[in-house]
Amino acid sequence: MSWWCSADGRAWTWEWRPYLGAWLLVGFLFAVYTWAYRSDPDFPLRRKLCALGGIVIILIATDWPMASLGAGYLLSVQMGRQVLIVLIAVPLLMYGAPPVVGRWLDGSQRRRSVTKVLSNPLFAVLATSGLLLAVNTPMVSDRTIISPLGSFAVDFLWIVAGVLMWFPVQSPSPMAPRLVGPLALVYLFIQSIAPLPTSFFMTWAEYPLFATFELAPRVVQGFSAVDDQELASGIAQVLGGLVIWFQITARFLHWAILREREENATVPDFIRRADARETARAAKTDR
Amino acid sequence: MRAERPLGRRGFLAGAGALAALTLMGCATALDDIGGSDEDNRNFQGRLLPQPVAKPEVTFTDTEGRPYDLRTATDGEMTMVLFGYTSCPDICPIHMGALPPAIEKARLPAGNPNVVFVGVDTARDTPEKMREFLDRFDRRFVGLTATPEEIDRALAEVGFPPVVIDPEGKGGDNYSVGHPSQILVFTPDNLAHIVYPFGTREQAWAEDLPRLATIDWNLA
Repeated sequence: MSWWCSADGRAWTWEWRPYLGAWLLVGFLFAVYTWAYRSDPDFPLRRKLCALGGIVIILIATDWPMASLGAGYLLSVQMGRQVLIVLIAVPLLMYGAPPVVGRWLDGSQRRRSVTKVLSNPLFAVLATSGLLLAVNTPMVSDRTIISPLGSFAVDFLWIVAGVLMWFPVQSPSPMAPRLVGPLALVYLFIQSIAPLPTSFFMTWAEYPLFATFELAPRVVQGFSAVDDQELASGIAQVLGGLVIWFQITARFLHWAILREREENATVPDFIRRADARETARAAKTDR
Repeated sequence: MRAERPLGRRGFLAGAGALAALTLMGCATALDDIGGSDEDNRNFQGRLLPQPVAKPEVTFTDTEGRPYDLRTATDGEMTMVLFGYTSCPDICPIHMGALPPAIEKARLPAGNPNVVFVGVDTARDTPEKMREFLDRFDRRFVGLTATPEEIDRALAEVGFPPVVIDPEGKGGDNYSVGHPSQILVFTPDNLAHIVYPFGTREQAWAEDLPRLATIDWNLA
């Protein structure tokens, strides 16, 4: 039993091979969140369920069979894991982060400084893109996923990339300046196009880019390494894009509804003045 | 007095950074072991043999049950030979799978090279099974077999060790077979000057094949 997934060159089988590290990680996350919720009993159930969903998705992405297939056989599954962790699990975990996390982040000047840097959208775009680009280069990928430690580093860096990406719009710190409204939408739009260079190379490469996946035993006969690479690019672009655009749509609707309520809640000054004049005129006429 | 422990935190961050850097950049990989230096290999990505070897003088049987003399059937043509077995879980299907796209991309003016798969697991590599296995890659690939003794003789003629059947698996139907993992490439001079180990990538094949098809080894 290996503690983390990696490319071991063995022929693929559907024999269950759980990874101890994945179960320990989700157990740790579950314990930390459960403990943290105890100090914030009024925390909404919806957010707690989101965090639970995030933990379940982390388990799916880091345990057999998805992790085994992704780390050792199919680049498309590896890209699916990246989408699950970076774009779905991490934002769910951040949305479900209890207020104690925010209070902790605001607890010292140093942490506030770190939070401020993490909340900077320009930093977030550059750091997320740089990290994901580095992890997805053949030089790094082929050298890391062949060992459990290297593969763990990749998965860990995905989580870091997810935190960096979502911090400006989903910061758990109440003091951090969160992007809302159109700014958040623009930020997410930029994040949705940031991975395109990587996907471009995967889509148009004449040859398989990653030795690990090219030289892995085939899982599906007739599904070549280049086919797999093109599918991986599609998953990164289309599935990843859909997830971000779902966020953009949801945030836009949320913002639009709030704005509509705000606009309709107060009567504009010129109408109020006109109404006042009309009322005064009516009163004079009555006299 | 500072309530924080900056050194401990710095140490943790430095350690995490070092761990990430080590795992990302420094992990040893077997992939680096594939192929010799360009200088040793005259810029080929396979491994040049110290002495060229001739095609084995063995009459095999093809998947149609007909006798197949490798020397006469492939005389003057580039021919790639892999001694493998159809139940092989990794080396054989991966090696064979890299060849069709590489040959297509190499666009050889003299036509496609012969690809010959010699099934060394004589108990399981029946003509039907070999044909089915090879058709997964390319219907033009040639499947050959012979008696175990003839196969071992052919292997010895090209300088490869004999076939080893996993002794624990004998008698059952699920056993592994020790076989050479290199593909021998016979150039049009009917000699093999170079072998390609397991791990040779599609791009390496596509880049080397045009040179192998036209090289004059006397001048090279």
